[in-house]
Amino acid sequence: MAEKRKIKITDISNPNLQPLVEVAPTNTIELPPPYDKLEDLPGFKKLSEATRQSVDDSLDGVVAIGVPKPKTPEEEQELVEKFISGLIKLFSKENNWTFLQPLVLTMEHCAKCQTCSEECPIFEASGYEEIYRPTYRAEILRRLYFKYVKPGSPLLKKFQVGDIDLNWTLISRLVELAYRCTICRRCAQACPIGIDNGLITHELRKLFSQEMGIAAKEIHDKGTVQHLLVGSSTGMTPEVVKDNVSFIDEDLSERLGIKVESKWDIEGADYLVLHNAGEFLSWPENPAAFAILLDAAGIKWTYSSELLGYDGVNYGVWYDDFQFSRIAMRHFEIAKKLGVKGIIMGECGHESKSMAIIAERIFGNEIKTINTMSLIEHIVFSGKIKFDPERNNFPVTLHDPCNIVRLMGIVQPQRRVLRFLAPKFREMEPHGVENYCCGGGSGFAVMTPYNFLDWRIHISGRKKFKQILDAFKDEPPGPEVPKYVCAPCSNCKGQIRDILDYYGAKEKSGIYYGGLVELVVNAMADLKEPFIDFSMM
Amino acid sequence: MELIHLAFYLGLIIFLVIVFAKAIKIATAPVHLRWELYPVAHEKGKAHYGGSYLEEFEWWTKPLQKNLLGEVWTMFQEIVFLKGVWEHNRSLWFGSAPFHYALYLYVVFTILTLLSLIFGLTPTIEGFSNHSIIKFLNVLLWISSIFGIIGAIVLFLKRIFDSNLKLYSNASHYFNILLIGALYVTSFIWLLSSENTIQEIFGFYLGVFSFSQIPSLPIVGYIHFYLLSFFLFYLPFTHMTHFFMKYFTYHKVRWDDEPNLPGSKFRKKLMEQLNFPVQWSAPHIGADGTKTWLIIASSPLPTKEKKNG
Amino acid sequence: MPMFEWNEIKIEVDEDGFMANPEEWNERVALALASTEGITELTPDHWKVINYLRDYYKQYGIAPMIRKLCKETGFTLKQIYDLFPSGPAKGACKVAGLAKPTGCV
Repeated sequence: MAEKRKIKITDISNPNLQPLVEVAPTNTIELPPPYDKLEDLPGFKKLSEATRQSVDDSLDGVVAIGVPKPKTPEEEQELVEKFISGLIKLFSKENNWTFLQPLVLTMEHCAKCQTCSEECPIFEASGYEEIYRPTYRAEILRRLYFKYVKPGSPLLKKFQVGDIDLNWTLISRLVELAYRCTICRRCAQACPIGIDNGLITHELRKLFSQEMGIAAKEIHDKGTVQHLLVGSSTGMTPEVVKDNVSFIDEDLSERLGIKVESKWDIEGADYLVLHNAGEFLSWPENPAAFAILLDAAGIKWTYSSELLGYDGVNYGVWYDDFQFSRIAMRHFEIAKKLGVKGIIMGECGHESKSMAIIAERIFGNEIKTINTMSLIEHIVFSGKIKFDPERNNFPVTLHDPCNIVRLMGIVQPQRRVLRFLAPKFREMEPHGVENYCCGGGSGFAVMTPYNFLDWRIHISGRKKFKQILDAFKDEPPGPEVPKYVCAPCSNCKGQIRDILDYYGAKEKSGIYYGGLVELVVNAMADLKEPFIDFSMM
Repeated sequence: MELIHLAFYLGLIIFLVIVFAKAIKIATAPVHLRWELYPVAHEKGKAHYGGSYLEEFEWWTKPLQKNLLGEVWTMFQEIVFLKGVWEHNRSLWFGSAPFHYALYLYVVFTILTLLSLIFGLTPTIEGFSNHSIIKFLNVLLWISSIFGIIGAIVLFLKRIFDSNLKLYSNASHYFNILLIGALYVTSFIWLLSSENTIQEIFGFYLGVFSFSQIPSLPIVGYIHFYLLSFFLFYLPFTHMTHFFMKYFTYHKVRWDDEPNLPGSKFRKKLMEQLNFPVQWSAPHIGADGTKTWLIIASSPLPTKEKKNG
Repeated sequence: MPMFEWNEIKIEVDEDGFMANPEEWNERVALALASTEGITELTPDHWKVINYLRDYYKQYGIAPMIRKLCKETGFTLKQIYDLFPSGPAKGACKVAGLAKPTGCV
C-alpha cells in the first residue's frame, strides 16, 4: 500500500484536498480463510458523477449524510454562521444542560496522550486513518470551542490548542465525520483522565440536527419523524402491526403445534411489552419467543396499539435530545395510561439504555423498565419452566451490545442463562464491558445510503466479524455445523446480518445469528418441535 | 519584601482562587443526563467485571448498595500506578509515570517542609541538617528531581518523535514539559551545588509565610522559586487542571449512576433546568426562545415537519 | 436525487437505487430496476413476488414481512434470494418499486 499522506488537524478545512483521505478496505485486522483475501471482495461502491456533483464526499469518499453542496458563496457563509450559533448553544446551559458538564470536562482536559486511540476498532480497521482517530474529531471541536466560545485572549488560545479555519468545507466534512463513530465509547473507557471522545460525536450530531436540521435521513426523516407521526420508524401503523403480529402467532402456532397468542391493550396487565418494531418485520421469531416464554412464566403482559406504543426504538438518543425526549415521554405515557407497573423492554440495546437510564433521569421512574437480560434470567431460574439444554447442542457465542453491557453494566445475567442453556457456549475475546461494537452502533445498522454500507462492513464491522470467526475457530469450518451468534439487540442483529451476508458466511461457514430469547425457548422441554429452525434463517 | 515574595504570593493566590473558582463552576454545572460507563467502581460485588445494579431483576425492590472503597481503590490505582496508561499506552507510561511521580514527591516534599516549619523545625535551630526529617527530605527532593528530569525528557522526545503525539501537540505542550522540566533541573542543580539546599528551601518558605526576609539563596534557588511561582500562576489555566477535574470526570460522569428516585438530591435542580428557555433553530425543534425545554420535549412535532416519504 | 436511465426509461432514484416516486412504476420500470440487481429476465416467479409486494404495498403503504411474503408466494427465503440476489428487502422491493424499508429491519 502506498505511503499515506500525513493529515494535519487543519487539513479538515482545506478544500483543495479532494478527498481529504482515500479510504479503502484494508487488512489491518486480518481475517482467517476463506475471508482473508481482500482482492476477492468488491471494493467500495463508486459514487456516480451525478451524486458527486450534488453531495459532498470530500471527507473520505464515503457518504453517509450527503450534505448538499452550497450553490453560492452567500449560502456557504450562511451555513458557517449557523454553525457558529449552534456551537455557542451547544456550550450554553439553557440549550444543552443535558450534557454540558461532561462536554466541557472533555473539551478542557484532554492531555492528548492518545491512550484511547488503540481502543477504537474503526481507527484500527481503517489502517489507522488519522481522521478516524477518536481524538481527531474532538480536537477539531476543541479548537472551534476555544476560538468561538471560550473567552480569553486569541493569542493565548492559539498557544494552548492551536488554530483552525472555519469554512463550509470543514462543516460538511465534520457532518460526515460525526457519522464515522459508533459511540461505542471504548475510547472513553481507556482514558485515564475520564475524557469521552464518543460524547463528542453525540454532541456534534446534536449541533447539526438541533441547529442546522442536518441528520441522517434514516434516523431523522424516516426515523424519529416517522416514528412520531406514523407510530413507528418502520412505517407500520397500528393496523399493520396487529395484522403482522397475528400472522406471526398463526404461523408459529402452526409450526410448533402450540398456541402462540399475543395480547393487545389489555387493561390490568402487569407489564407492557415494548419491542423494537423491526423485530416484527425482520425477526418475528424473537417477539414470538417472548410471547411463549412470558406466558409459560405466567406473566400478565400486553402490547399497546397506540401510536408509538408498539415501536420501542428511540433514534433520538443518537443525535437529538428533543426528538429523544418526545419519544421517551410517549413511551412512558402509554405505559402509564395502560396502568401497568412496568415496561418489559425487548432485545433492543439503545432503547433499553434510553429508557432505563437516560430518560429516567429526565422523567423520573414512576414507570419502571425491565431489561430483557435480567428478566430472562429471572424466568429461566425461577423453576417454572422445564428446560432441556441439549436442544441447544450447537456452538453458540455471545455478542455484547454496547448499550446493554458497557453502558448499562448488564453483563452476567445473559451469561448465566447461556452457560445453563447452551452447552457449547463460548465467549468472544474480548467480551463483557470490553466488547467490540458490532459496527452498526449509533444508527449505522439502519443506514445504507450511497456507499456507506461498504464502509460499515469493512471499517466499522470488521473487528466484530473477526471476533465471530475466532469464536468458532475450533469448530468444523464448513456449513455442516450451524453456529449461532447470540446478539440480543435488534440493531446489532441488523449489522451482523449485513456482515454475514456480505461475506457469505452462512453458506461458507454455517454462521447464523439471532437473539437470546430464541435460544431459551428452543431449550424448553415441553415444546414438541424445536423452536429454532436453521433452514428458515 | 523582595520581588520573589510578590511573585510567590501572586502565583499562590491565583492558583488557589482559580482552582477554587473552577471547581465551584464545574460542581454547580447543571445536572446532566446519565452517561455512565462501566465498570463503575462503587457497584458492590459487581465492579470487578463491570456489572451494575441494573442486573438485578426489579432492582428497585432491593437496597442500592454503594461500595465507596471500590472508588477509593480504583482512584488509588489510577493515581499511584497510572493504571490506564499502563494498560492502554505502555510506552508512554515510562515517561508519564516518572513525570507524575516527580510531581507527587515534590508536593509531598513541600507539604512536609511546611509541616516541619509549623512544628518548629526552623532552619536556624541547632543540628538542623542532621535531623532525620531533613535527611529524608533531602532524599525526597533528589528522587523527585531525577524522576522529573527523566520524565520530562522522555515526554518531550515522545512528543517530538512519536507521530501519534506529534500531530496533537501544540506549542503549549512543549512549553509545559519544558517548564516543569526546568523546575526539576533547577532543584537538581541546587542540590548538586549547595550543601544546604533543604535548609535554604526552609528559609524560603519561612520567609514567605512569615512575611519576613528570606536568607539569601543561590541564584539557582531564586530561579527555582520564580519558576515555581510562575507554574502556580499558570497551571489553573491549562488542561493540567485534570489533577482535580479528574474527580468530576470520574465521580460525576463516568460513575454517576444515581437513579432519579423521589427525594433524590438533584430533582429540584432538574426541575429548574426543565424550565430553561430553548433557542435551537432547527424547525423540528419548534423553539422560539421563550418556550421551555420541557414544553418543547412534550409537544408534538411542529406541523411544518412533514413525513418525508 | 440521482436519475437512473435504462434504455428509454428514465426515473428518479434515491441514494440506494430505490424509486423516488413509486407511483411511476410500471412493468418496464421493473425490468429496468431488475437490471441493477443483475437480473436480466423477469420470469413468472419473479412476477409472483413482485405482484404480491405491490398489492401489499398498495394496501398498507409499507413492505410486508419477509415471512409473510414467503408464505403467501409459496417460496422459501432461499428461493427468494435465488430470484433476487440482494434479498427480499434490498432486491425484490426495489424491483417492485417500493420505497426502501425503514426502521431497524
